[in-house]
Amino acid sequence: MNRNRALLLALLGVLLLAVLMNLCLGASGLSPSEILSALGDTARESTAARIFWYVRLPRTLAAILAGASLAAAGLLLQAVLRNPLAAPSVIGINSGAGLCALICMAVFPGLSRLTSLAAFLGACAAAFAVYLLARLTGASRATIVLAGVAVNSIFGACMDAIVTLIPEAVVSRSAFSIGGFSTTTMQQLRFAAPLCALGFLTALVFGRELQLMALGDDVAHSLGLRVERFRALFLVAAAMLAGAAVSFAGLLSFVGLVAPHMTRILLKNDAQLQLPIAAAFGAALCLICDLIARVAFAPFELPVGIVLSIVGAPFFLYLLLIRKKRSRHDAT
Amino acid sequence: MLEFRELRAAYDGVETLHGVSAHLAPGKLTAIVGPNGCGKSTLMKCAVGLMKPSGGEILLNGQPLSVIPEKERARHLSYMPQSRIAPDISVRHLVIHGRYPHLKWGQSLRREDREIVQAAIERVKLGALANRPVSRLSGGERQRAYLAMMLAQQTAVMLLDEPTAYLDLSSQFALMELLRALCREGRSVILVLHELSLALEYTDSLLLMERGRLVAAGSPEEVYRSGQIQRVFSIDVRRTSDNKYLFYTEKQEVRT
Repeated sequence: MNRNRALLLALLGVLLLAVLMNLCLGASGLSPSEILSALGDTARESTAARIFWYVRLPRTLAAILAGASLAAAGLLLQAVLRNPLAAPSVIGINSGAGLCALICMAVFPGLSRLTSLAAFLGACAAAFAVYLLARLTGASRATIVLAGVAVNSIFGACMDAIVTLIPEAVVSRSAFSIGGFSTTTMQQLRFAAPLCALGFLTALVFGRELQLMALGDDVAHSLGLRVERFRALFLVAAAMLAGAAVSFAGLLSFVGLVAPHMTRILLKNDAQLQLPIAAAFGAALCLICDLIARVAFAPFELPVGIVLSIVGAPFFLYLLLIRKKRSRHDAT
Repeated sequence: MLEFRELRAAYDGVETLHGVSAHLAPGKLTAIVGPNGCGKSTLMKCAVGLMKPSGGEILLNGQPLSVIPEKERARHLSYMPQSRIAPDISVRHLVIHGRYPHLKWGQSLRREDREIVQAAIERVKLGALANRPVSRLSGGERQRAYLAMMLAQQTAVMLLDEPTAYLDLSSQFALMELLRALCREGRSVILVLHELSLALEYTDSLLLMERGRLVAAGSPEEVYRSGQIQRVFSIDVRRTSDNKYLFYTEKQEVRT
């Protein structure tokens, strides 16, 4: 078995272990045997079954789906915009999704199925706004990040205004703006999952084209790729993934930045495995951070977004520093 | 093969190519030379379809370039841009991308494709570095990796925009020798060059441009004799008895 397949298997092992720990650990611990009996308790009569079906399972599935989706969205954005700092939370896509999701929750509180769709549309609008802005001004790394800062600020202010004026729009203001899985329901996941699946499928089916995009517009075009058409397709796929994740997990930061980079650091010379490994890494990261958020200060609980920021922000700075060093090296 | 007919191009409404006509024959190494901003790279970008001409037309094998589907164009014409990304993929993986125009959607690499990729890697002498990430290669090695990708594309026409930039002298000579060998196999290689000495000594034909116009075309000998090089670059050029060129400015030798 080669090194990369071993990495994928190891990552899946970590993921499985993290899933088990997330299902077992919490304010009320569940033993593996209680989980097995809860799985058979379809009437959900026992306390353990109710904890499992209504609390632990939705939360664990939410962490997996959000982590994998945001990681895949980050991978797509970094290839399409050829910018290592492009991640859904950095360039404003999460904020766009969040704003539209909030508007939907405030205006149509009874129609939760529309939230994922609204988040997707908001993510699309933000993605194309940032792309157009960057294209008009030269698409440099700094421009995209600065455009993201501006977009984040505008959308963030709008979200604050909505939550202040209509506090019942979200269950918990902090859970939404920091990001978390404590309020996620199975119904929310049912609406978001098809969008995530479609986004993943697009990235997988057009994997070869995605790799060509990462070589730059001129080279991709010279190889016969319809660059603008595929850029639009991948931006829509990234918006689907990020929008769906935001609709149930709020504005989670750094997953879409850390997971693709860790994948590139660990994965050698196998572009085909990039997407599954990044997705597995994102899912494992969210599960582990959620576990830390729940057990570190038990019985109190931190929103998972805080733990992700503590892990992600130093990584973001590290990336800025190594990229700076690398660009100096390349110039010599 | 590749032909420009009264080609015009403009950036933001300002015309930068003013009716360039040229015919690039097969099996020839052609250099486009001229001062900075004369339209060399614009001509290249139009030729590969990266920029839409504002007038005139480009013919590839007698067919207007604008009507040729992208993948079909990429099976006939390859292009190496001036600035290239150094991706974190292996040299082999990069070269495999050169087979993209020859593969149907979703089709895996065939045995024949793998042989072509291996041959391209060997041709540019990167066999020992085939599994190394492109990002960890030197400037000259990256250049050769991209050239191998173009070779894997197996096109009859190869366009290279300033391929000698950032290369040391021996790498420049090695590249020109390789390009000349490719022409002997029947390919048509067109490159934008800043090094006049390389253009005069290695190529079969020169296109000399000035302010968006073609001011001289022909063999290096003919273009040299036309006296246009001296005028356009404001330099003095002398040819020695052993067919080397010496460049002077204000009576001072600047380059041989």
